[in-house]
Amino acid sequence: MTVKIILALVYLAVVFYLGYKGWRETRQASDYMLAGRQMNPYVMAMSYGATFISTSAIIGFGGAAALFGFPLLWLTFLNIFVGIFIAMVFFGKRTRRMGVALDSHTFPELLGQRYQSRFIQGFSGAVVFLFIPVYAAAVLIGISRMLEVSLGINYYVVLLGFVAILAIYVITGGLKAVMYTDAFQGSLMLVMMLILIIFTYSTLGGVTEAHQALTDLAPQMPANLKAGGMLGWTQGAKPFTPLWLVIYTTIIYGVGIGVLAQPQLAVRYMTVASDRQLNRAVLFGGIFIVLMTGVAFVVGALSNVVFFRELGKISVAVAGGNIDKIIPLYVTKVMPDWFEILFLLAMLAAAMSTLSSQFHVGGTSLGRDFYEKGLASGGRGELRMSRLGVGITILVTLVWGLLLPPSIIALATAFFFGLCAASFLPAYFLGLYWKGMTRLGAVVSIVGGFATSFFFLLFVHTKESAAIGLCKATFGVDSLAQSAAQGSGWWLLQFTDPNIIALPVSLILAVVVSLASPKMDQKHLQLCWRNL
Amino acid sequence: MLGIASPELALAYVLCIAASVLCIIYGIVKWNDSGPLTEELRDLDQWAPEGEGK
Repeated sequence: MTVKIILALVYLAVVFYLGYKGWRETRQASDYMLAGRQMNPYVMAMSYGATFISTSAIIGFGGAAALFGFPLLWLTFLNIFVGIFIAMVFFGKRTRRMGVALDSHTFPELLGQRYQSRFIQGFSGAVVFLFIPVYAAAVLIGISRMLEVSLGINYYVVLLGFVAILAIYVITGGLKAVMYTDAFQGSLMLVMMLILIIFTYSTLGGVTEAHQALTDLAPQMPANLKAGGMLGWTQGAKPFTPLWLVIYTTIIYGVGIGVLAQPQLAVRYMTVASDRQLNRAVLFGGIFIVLMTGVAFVVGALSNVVFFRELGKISVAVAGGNIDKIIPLYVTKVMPDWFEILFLLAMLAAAMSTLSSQFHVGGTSLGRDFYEKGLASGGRGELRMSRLGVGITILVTLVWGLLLPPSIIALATAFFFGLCAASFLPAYFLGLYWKGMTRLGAVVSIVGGFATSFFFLLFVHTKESAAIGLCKATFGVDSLAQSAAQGSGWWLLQFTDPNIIALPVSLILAVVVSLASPKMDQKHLQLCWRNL
Repeated sequence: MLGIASPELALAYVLCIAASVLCIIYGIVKWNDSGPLTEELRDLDQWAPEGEGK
């Protein structure tokens, strides 16, 4: 226990030093919101990656991989190919160049200025500010529960202590403090995951041998999963069965594509000085992500073989049915003692790096986008308003953290990713690439995508609608799709990610309304495209 | 392939590594490619007061 506390204190000392460094270098609003547009590519890539990958991606989705096996590797592929390569090369460069041309400081501001619309900036800022605390609260709950179990400290003490530490460096140091600490935390995560995969493969006798052992374990797949369509961990699921839909639509499509329209990630493209830093960040990011979700999913799936050999039970049985416990149990029972402590710190780092960015983006959305621009309050004291915004975001997150149930982590993550993709992705992507995209097209796409996604979350997709309860209170059923004939397309909608519907709706609205509405001013378009 | 029963999932495994390699190669090839915008900023910097340009 003493070693654990000393290591935790050393870790916190480094975090505070980096937070202090960020604070010392923060003098004006562009430092606070965009780290002065002069960030180092390694810091940028690590910060992007560490923000992207929270504890839930490793613990929550790693546990899901123990249940569903290798199909989750499609998510890793999308995380790297879409989340890093497409994101930085096809979105990042244009975002940065247009951001400089329009002097945008936040993601909602970029959208607002591209379409010359205070409504778009204010509405987008409000969506981010209102919903990011739910996602942040989920991350907060996850890490607080983990520390409660591991260090034996009261849950509420951990929750409050954690928020206090983050508040100090995010409120004072802005994005510089966030990114410096992210880079340190990301590096720690990288080393721990590398050790985890090497240890696991060598324990099982090599890469092919380990996979083969998992393939041979297929008869041990639980009966309820087989009934849902699962064949085995390396065999996958039968197409169009309920579990196949859960894996491929919610987990892979929802989270894999949703990454492109995440405000807390998109803002990072604008923190670097030129394309050179983004090119280098692609290299660092590609290595980082495969070692995060790639390792978590492979180790999660292979934990079944290790547990079966050592304890005669597969992972989900060892964890008593709670998949969030599988990765922590694997680390505790299988890995060496010294690793357990460092892995705990790496998970602490994963949570802190995601949370700090969520607080920062929530704060600037409230201060800069909603209050200053959306409500047209003028530009006085913009740094102070953003700091106040961060403070309010942290308080709201804390309230959600105390209210939300513990099993909400993966749900809230997918919820925010999906909502952002449906609301912002078409307006963002077409805004970067299509001069014919109009203000009205963007407004209708953003509001329409948001409304469709929200409707499906509240009334159709059972996972959320049952948890929220509005559908039950209004119509007496958990999902409107339940009443359709079993096995029909309508019936399957209750298992299908809302974005399968909401994102195409948002895209169609963007294109159709833009074609039918007045074009934007040519001079303004020239300004937007000045650097492209 | 690689001990993975489904060819589709073996492909996913290989593509994860291939995507990482693509990122690494892209980063190396474009290591010093700074795009057009830096030139423009550099031009502007010439007009900045002494000590503020880069």
